Amino acid sequence: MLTAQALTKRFGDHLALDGLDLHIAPGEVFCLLGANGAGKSTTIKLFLGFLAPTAGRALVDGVEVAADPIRARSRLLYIPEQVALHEELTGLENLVYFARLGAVPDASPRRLTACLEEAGLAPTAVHRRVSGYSKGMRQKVGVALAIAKGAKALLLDEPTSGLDPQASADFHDLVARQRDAGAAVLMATHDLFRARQIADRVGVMRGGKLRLSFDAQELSAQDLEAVYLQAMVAEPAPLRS
Amino acid sequence: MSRMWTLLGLEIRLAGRDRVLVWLVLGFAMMAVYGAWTGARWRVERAAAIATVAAEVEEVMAAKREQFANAAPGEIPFAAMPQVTPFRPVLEPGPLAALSIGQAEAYPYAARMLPLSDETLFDAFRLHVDNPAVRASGRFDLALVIVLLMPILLLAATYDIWVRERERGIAALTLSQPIPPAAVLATKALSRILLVLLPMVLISAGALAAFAQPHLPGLIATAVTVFLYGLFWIGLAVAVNVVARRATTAAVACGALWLVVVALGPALALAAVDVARPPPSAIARTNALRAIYLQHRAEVRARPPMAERIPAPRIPDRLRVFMTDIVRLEERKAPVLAKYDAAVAERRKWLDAARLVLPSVAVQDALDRIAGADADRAIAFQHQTLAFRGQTRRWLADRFAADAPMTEADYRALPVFRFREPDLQTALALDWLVVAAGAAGLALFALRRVRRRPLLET
Amino acid sequence: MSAPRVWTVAATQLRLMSRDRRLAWLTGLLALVMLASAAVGQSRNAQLQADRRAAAAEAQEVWRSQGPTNPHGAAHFGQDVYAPVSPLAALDPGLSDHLGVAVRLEGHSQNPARERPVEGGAALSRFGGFSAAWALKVLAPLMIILAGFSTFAGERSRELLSQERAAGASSFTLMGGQLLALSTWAFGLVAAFTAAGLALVLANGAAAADMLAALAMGAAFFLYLAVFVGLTLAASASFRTARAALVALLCFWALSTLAAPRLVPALAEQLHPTPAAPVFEKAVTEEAKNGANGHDPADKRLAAFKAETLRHYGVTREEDLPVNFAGLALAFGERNSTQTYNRHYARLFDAYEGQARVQRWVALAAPELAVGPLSMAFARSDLDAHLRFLKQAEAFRYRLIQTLNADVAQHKPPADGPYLADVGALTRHLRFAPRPAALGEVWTRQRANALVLAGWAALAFALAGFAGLRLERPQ
Repeated sequence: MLTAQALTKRFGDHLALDGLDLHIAPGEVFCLLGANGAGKSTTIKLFLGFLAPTAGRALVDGVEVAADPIRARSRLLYIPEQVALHEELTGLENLVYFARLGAVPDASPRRLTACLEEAGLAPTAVHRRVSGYSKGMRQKVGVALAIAKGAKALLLDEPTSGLDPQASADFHDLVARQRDAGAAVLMATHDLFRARQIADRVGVMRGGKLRLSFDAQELSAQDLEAVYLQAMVAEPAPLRS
Repeated sequence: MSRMWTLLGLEIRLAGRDRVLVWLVLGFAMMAVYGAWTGARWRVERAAAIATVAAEVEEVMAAKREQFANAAPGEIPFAAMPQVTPFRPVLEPGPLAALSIGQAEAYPYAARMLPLSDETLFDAFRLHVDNPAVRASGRFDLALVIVLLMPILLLAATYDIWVRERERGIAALTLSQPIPPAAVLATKALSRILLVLLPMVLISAGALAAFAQPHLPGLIATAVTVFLYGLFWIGLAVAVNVVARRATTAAVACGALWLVVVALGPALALAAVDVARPPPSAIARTNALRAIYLQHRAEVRARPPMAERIPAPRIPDRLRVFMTDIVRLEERKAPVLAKYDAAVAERRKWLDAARLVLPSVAVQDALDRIAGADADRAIAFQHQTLAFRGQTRRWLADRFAADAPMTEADYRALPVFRFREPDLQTALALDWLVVAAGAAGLALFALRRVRRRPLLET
Repeated sequence: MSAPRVWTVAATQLRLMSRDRRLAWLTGLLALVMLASAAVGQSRNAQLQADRRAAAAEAQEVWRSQGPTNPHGAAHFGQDVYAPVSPLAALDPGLSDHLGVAVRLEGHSQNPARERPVEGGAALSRFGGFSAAWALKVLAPLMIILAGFSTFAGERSRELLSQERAAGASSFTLMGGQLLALSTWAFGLVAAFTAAGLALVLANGAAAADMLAALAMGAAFFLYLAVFVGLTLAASASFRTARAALVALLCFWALSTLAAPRLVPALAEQLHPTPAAPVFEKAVTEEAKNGANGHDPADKRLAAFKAETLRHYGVTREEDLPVNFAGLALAFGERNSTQTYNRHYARLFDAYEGQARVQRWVALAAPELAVGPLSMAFARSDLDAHLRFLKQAEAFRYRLIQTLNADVAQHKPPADGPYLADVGALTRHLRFAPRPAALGEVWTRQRANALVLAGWAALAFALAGFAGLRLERPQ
């Protein structure tokens, strides 16, 4: 569903992403780990078509992003660290707005209210202005959009940083549900613990390169931390490529 | 105290490194020089127009001299009749006229006068043939630069005087030191006064000195006015900064306040005066006066012809009657004129009151007065001219009584109009008081706000 | 660009604007002061109209009640006529305060208009007055800037933009929606203005030409505001920080609406100088006395005319003429002085036209200089309307004075005194009724300004569209 082929991005002298090859299948969660500036957000922005690849290709559901970003985006859902919504609109109004922008076939308030509730937003909050929402509530509006859109792929850029543990757990449940419904999920995160819990596969990036990737369930949490820290300082001995 | 010096030193160093401030001051200097040059050019034109008017007397006198020369021995030429002695009272522009054109174009600046002239003696100088579109847009004089543009530049230099540090997070660090917040703000304001306002004051006075005639008290008064006005705007920026949280908000607030003080406020005040005290109808007044004149003329024409005295006096008696008629006609016109003048004066009083609440208007008023382009000076000229007309009428009556026709020598000893400058100090002091009170009020507001609420809490 | 998405963006944006309480308040306040000023203007204009109508009747009465009088004496006494008041001047008073309202029509001279309302002011009078047109020219653009500068600029707006794009809308579509939303807001304001204009016309006799003029003013202001809509959104999409966008837009606003309208007339006057009134008057007098070339004295011309007249009637002495030569001489002198005045005024009006031309050129850089003249032209409160009134007054004056002179020529003075006539009866058939210019004429004069405005609006929208496309381009 999400495919990167030798995907490369260079900003002047700086190589932000260096020949990434990646394939995430429908119903699979791939977590990208790495320090700030490792290339995680660049990868996500290349899949969104916000950045143009210097070399290589990014494909969403077989659509090459650089060639037709709008079509690619119609299959995607993007949730950044801070879900920015129109503060003076209610949760539902925001969802209607974004659903219409995404040309969701049924963007009726009734259906979208159901989507919001499915995303876990309390019914009392649906008609409240977003300016009073917590960060977790905003993320739920984002997920509701994924539900409404029937997104085939989710691009999550550190979506749970700054959330309290309960909200974070709730969010991951929602992502898991999308995965179970067949969505491919690419999630950039610093949260090793959650990554291991939710991911099918985990990748570690450093200096624009995917240093290693492995099945999440193969390691314990402690092992994962050790591998991660090692990957941060030196070229790791490949556990499994 | 030493901490304050440290702060001030730092502020001055920082502000000195801010290229924008240099550009702001340079921009002001360019506009001030252009404004003063425009004003100086206007003064030259006005002086030339006045010279043309004054030269008219010489033309008339040349014709009279010719009549005297051509008169047969013993003949009394018409040139010897005193009632047609020409006078041209004029209002010379003040030495600092380059500062402001003010109201100088809204009032007559000269009079074509004979001793028996009626109320139309100023009319020729209420007419203008230059483009009204140019005039409606407002002259670009030094006063405009000071009143309208200097505040924008000052606000550009000070609108984020405190929020900027706050946004960047330096504010917390500064305030965590043992210095009173009010002192921090005051130091910042002081640095802008020293680095931006003072140069502007000197530039204003310098540009004026370069283009106007020397007049030290006027230059000092200009500098004081500009300084007080600058304090008001810096005070406004400080007041905005203790309330606003973000630089963008502060910029918008400063812009909006500028608009209110220099454009919207005066415009609405003007509209309010137009509603409350509309100008009386000048055209109705003219018609009423013309009707009175016709009635008077009919009465004069209906009188039987006058018998001449024997022996005939040297100045014919019909001229004496003419003078009496004119005086009687004026007595008839007086109520109409008085009513009109009172309505105009009442309206002006309302217009004048706006300066008590709007510092921009107070400063314009002060600069007009320093330049000698204010309404009061123009009105004083009209009053003094009318008083002078009275003086020439008494002189004429004496000549009639003595039956003394004019000789060429008499024309060299005529009453002379001398304009006495009206009192300037009181009105100027009031203008300064208004502006200073505005600045002090803003400073007080900022101080109270800082005392009541910690600076980072808003 | 997809139309349904553009509608969605525009509708959402309008909803957001309506919920922004500060903006809603400001808009309401602006509309209110605009309408209030139109109402005040209307009541003031009604007062002026009544005043001038009464004065015109009074002036006629004064003229008629001169009694038996010498017609040339009456020509010196003169008659006053008054400028008409346009109903739309309540929206845009234009130059009204700086134009004289009365012209004294008298023999030998063409007087400029007297009694400018701006006379007798104080320091406050140096500041411009408030009008609905001023609100649209100065305040409305500022509000557009404040409402739109952060649409795309600034960190939060950029995040929102990413999400909107990720949701499937291109930046170009988003720009289209924003343009539509802000233009709708501007349209609402202009609609209120135009409605006020139409109401004024209805209250003043509902002339079709005035209705069209009100619509033309509305259309011009809409184009003008569209310029600011386009530029605001273009700047917002082009500058990374909201602050930079705001500063750039405010600079343009201040230059275009406050500085240029003051600087350009000064510049125009420097390029096309006009004389002071006494100097103008002296030049005319001089020329009337000595001829256009300075070597053709009036008395010589009169002598030639007299010889010509005597030859025409085949007599050698003035007393033998079947007509009163004094009347013919007056008519001859009037013709000469009128030609002299016309020459000088033509030169003066050429200078005005030159100044207007400078202004039109600079309007290429500051759209306020295009919409200002256009609005006051349709409100008929501009210089053209005034000059038209002056020219009609002059044509009337010439007929009036020559009618009086012709009467003098037909009557030889009686032996016991001057010839006296009832000038009221003599000139009963002469009535001054100034007619405003046809709308087509106004349009012809203002076409260039309209084109400049349309060009500006197209350019601003193109810039906004281009900025939208650039946002879409991946880095």
